[in-house]
Amino acid sequence: MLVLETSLEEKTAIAMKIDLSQFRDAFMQESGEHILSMEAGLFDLRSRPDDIETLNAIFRAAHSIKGGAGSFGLKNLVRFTHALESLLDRLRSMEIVVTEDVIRVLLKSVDVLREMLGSDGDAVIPVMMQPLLDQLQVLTTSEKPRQDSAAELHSSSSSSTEDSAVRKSEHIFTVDCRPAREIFETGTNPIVLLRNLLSLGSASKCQLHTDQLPPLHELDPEKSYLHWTAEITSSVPEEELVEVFEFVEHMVELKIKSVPVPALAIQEVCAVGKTPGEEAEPTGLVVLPMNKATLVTVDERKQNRRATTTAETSSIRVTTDKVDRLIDLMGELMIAQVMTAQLVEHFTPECLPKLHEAVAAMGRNTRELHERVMSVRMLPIGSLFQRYTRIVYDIAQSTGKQIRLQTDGDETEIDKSILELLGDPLTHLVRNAADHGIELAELRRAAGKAEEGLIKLRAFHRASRIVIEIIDDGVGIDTTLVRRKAIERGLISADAQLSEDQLRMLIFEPGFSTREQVSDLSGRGVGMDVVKRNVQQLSGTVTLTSEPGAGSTVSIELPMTLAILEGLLVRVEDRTLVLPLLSVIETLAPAAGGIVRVAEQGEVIVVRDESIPVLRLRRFIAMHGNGHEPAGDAADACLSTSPAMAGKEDRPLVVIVEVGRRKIGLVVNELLGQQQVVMKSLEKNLHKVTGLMGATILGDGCVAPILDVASLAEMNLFAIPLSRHPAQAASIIAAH
Amino acid sequence: MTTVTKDSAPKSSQFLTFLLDEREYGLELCSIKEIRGYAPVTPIPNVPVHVRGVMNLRGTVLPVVDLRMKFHLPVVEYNKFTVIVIAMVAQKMVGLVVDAVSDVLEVTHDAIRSAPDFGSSVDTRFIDGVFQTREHLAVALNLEQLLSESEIGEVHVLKQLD
Repeated sequence: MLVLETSLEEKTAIAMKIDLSQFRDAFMQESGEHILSMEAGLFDLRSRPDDIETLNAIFRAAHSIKGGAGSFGLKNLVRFTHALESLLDRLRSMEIVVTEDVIRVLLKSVDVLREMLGSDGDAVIPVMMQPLLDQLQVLTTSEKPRQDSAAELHSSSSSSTEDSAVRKSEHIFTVDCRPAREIFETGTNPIVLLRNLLSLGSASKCQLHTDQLPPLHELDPEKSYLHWTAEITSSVPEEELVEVFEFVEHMVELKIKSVPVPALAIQEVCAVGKTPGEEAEPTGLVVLPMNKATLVTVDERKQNRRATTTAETSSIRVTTDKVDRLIDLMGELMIAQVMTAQLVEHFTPECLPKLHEAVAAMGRNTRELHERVMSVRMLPIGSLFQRYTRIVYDIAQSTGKQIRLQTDGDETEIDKSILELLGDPLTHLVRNAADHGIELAELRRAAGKAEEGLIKLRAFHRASRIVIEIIDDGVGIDTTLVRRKAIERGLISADAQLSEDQLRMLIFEPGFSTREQVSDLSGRGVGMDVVKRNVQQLSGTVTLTSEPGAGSTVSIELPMTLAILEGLLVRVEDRTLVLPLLSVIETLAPAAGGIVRVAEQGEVIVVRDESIPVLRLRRFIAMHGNGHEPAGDAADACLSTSPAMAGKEDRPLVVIVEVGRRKIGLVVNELLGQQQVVMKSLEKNLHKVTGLMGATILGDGCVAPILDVASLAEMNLFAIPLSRHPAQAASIIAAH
Repeated sequence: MTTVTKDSAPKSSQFLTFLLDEREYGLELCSIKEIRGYAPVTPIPNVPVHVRGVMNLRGTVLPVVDLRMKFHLPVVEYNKFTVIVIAMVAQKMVGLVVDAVSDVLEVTHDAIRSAPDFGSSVDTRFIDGVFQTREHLAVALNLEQLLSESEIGEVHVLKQLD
């Protein structure tokens, strides 16, 4: 009896544990949403500081997080949200006035919350937590200034926190020190240098690099092989740091970078709870324990976490009415199925019309069901747009510009998977617009524009595609400059005839963006090739219009969903391939000799005075992973003039497809028809295959590959004996 | 009672053995999902030769790898004994074409000896060891190694063309 009871208790304990972990997931997810709404609320509050409703909403969000954290025993989270709540409460009761300072602290707090939640609650204590707690405390306890102006509050709050005033002048120095091999000959002990250096401030991180260390048998004990990087937070000027090395100047390679500490300093660094040994990576990094500072390994990725954790959870919230409708449809479908089954069971020829009807009903239901299921995956793009308010705010703060972000069409729905992949390109574009597009206030005033720059994010539907525009009213793009730079970089030849549009599109070229000067001069560039690549991956297009002095507009056009697409089924030899119909412009059957071979460069077809390069899909399907075609002299086989081929390829058809602003012709044997296909990933079980977007399962259960026109065009299968003329090959690539 | 016996018994795992060019090979049964008779697959361009193509397994598209080709054994026509062994490795599902399946054996871990250098054409990287079956010696294959990303053939064609 007793035994039974204990086991029962144990069982319930285990059950409780499982249940809790489930709730915990839900809590994490909900908290993510609360954080987002807090952030959005704070930005609203910035423009309307008196809005009690917004304040209440923020307060509720913080309170929900605190409540949840309490029930999971996340003490640090509770402590932090409690401090946050106290401040919010005083703001709510109008005891404290909302100022830029308050908003800034609150935004920082949101970051900390996000970090805490992202790292599974209490496991990691963010570096910023303690200083922020202090800051919150200070703000909460600060007296309400009598009938104040915002400026007054500003000064009073900064004087009341002299600590933070001191911090404002602090810098984080990253000191990279490489003592020369012979440093010991001068009688210098590098460790003393390090110690002296660290006495000037508080070290948050110190890394010893052992990568220069030779194997033991080659090691000369009289030589120094180690170098290190230290991060020091200090209020002393840089000169003082350099002074430490004064006597060994010629023996030490010194690099010092300084970053001003944001108003809220990283002053106290918390231990992560790992021993140094665990963190020693095989790459030759050893973390030195310092006596002054507790250790922390700052994971580089942590900085990016903000961008990645937002809105990208792997579950979807669906409104109940969507689900209800699905259930209804499912019921109808089941009735139709039973009807069909009965008819088939007792089949007589008279039943045929009834059977037809039943099958038609099933077809109708399936289609609608499909549509509805797809709509479950659709999410409003606003959740993504929200993120950029913060990015623009941060850039405006750090550059001293005045920038306003305006979003439009937040409710536009887009497939979840596209939404996720869109995050990075949009970040690049918004950052570029804010960083390089929008000018400083003085410049804007001088140019006769409003001091506050405006970046607009717009989303809307056009036909069955979604269009996202990033519009800024900044400097625009100087095409003459782009042209000059492109020639310098060897992207185009000096006498290349390019339209203004084509010139502007050059900024999306990888070679163009990597150079620092270019991005500074042209105002655009960093990461722009990423934009183009990601968008193409989503089978979308990017276009750019710009008016010098008046701003630029980047417009991204994407299919609404990736999971399903309208496909054109074609036959190439004995294979069935699917072409995304959206990229197809037209199909034609060229007359004999319609496909012309141009020198050594490949083949073209002339359509209404436009010559379009032609790619024979036969060459693509014969390709193997080693990049070479398997058997026979493919080069010869591809000549349109080859008589042997003329017989084989009974009557070639050309499908003209659009890739960005280019057109290419794909040679196929037959058009099989048009149908909606459900995209299946090849990456899931295999890997990304260049030239393919994925595969689909056709009505007969066979698999058919779906071509990725954009990557196909870049594979350079046009030219035939390319490998024999590498120089020419390069020139063709350049010409494209 | 049962737990006691389990603890004292030497650790063992079940192996599915199959034939490939008249030699026996074994794969741990726990990673095998199912076994199907060979049915034509859809060839996929731009993948290594040994990836014969992709197949549709109840709505999932998965690659089919010919193990003979993978091990550079002589290629034969597929016949009625040819089967596709569906295996799951590191979240990825894959079909392996083998000559025929033969048995399921319980093999204790002590009975798996390290692979001798017996001049097999199979790369030793893919071999975990050998074990005795009823008549023969079977080669225990390491599925993870065999189907790791680089082995299944992530080749960047573009780079090579350039």
